[in-house]
Amino acid sequence: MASKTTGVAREVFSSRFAFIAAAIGMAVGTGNIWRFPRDVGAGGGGTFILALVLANLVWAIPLLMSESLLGSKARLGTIGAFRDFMGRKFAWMGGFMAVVTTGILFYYAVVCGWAIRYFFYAISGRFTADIDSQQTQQLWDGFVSNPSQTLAFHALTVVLVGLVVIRGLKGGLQAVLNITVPALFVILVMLAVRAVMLPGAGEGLRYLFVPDWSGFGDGRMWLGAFVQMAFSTGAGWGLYLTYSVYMRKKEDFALNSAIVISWNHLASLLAGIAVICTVFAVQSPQYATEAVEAGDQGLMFVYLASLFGQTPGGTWFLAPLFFLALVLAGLSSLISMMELAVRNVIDFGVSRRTAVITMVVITFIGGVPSAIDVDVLTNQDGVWGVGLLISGLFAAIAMMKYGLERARSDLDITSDFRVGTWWKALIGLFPVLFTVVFGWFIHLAVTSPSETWYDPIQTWSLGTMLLQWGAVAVVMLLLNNYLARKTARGPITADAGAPASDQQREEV
Amino acid sequence: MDAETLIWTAVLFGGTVLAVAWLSIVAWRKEQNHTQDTES
Repeated sequence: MASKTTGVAREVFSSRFAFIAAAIGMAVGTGNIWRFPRDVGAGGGGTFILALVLANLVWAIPLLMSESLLGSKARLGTIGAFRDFMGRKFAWMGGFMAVVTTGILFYYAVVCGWAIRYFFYAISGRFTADIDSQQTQQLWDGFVSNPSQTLAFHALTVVLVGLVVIRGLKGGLQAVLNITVPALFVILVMLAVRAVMLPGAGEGLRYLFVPDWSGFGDGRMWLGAFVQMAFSTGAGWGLYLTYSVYMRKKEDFALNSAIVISWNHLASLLAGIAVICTVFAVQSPQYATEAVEAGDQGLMFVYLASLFGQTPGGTWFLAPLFFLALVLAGLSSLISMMELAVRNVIDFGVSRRTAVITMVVITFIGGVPSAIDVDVLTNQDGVWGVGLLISGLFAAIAMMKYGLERARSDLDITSDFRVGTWWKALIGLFPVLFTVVFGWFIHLAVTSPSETWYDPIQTWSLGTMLLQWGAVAVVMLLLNNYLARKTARGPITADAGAPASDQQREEV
Repeated sequence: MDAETLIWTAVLFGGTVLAVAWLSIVAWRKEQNHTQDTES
């Protein structure tokens, strides 16, 4: 069993709001700003938003509460938390969760590098009234096909994140996120207010908020809402678990989770208003629909970039602010992903400094394929984005193994809202919900017209996902005993490798 | 802006703003009580 206790986290967030700000920064990312506007249009506007609210209530909030319990009780990263809650045979599940999120960290750093590049384009006045979508397409193609540029901005991003994480909780993460997260919301509000004041913005609001009830029974819309929820809220990533390692004792579980999810939802809506109203105000509805359906990169870096100059104050105000928001959202999420990886390395008895330097190097190398080939990035986005659903299932299983009533009781003791049987029911039903959502995803993949769903070398296929998830699961299973032994002891680590006893639980 | 857009914007966006405000105020009050309890 684990032999050291040196890795156990001792730093804690200085206040509840410091914790919540960090958690909101973790949740609000580029998924809110570039993924939500695309998906909400394809999903039928208000219908999609209603489905997203439901997904937040039945999936994200109960799962964040579970992660919070895992992190705050174990005071260890994902591997140690799963070991201590489920027993040493299950440390691999924490390892799987860590690898999935680290896989996202690799390509997400590349995306954030793109945002930084476009922020520099914007502050140099590149997006003027004469630039059209063909020119922004050329600008985009020129940038992503130039590895020296994409690698340089990827490296810059990784170093920036490393510089924050190496300074620890209070001097690094908390100090930076307490400024960047409120700043991000101020910018999003400014962008949204400016967008709704543009003539013709009403069409955008209609597109965004009025439900298209014909899509309510469409499984694709529901799948899109659940994937967007998983990607946007951070539920199942292990990030909230990692921040909960630094929670104060007797911190609230239920209300904090609800606050994080609601602020995250608000960020999505603000970004949706800013993006969609701007597109609809400047262009015809047909063009706007084409732009919104152009995919993540196309919408942000091609269509939207060409529209800033056509709005009053767009070149020097909207464009820089928009890409700054994208940078801040990306960095605040990246910080949490890096911390997750670093926390697990620290739990192996390594100093924070060494752990951060190691992870900075690994993240840079891991992101190189995505930085030089957008198809690789698309592949990784699909593989690990959907893999989050599996990570979420593992968190729910950890609660079941620990005991739902026992977990509910632990959550209820310090929560401002009563954690009743509703939480047990939602976590208990989680495998069913997972089977429906995941089963539908597999059904869609297998019945897709491309007929190459099994091909593991396709950019987007079920085959490539199964291959990569399977490889990670097998490696983690093989390393299970090593991970369980190497990870430091925490306050609820049992001597015989069993889950934490009642006595240990009471003592924490 | 037509009435339907106005209503749905108020319900979906306004509802989110209200939820955020309410939850944040509850948390702020609880934190104030917690701080006072700790000090006394």
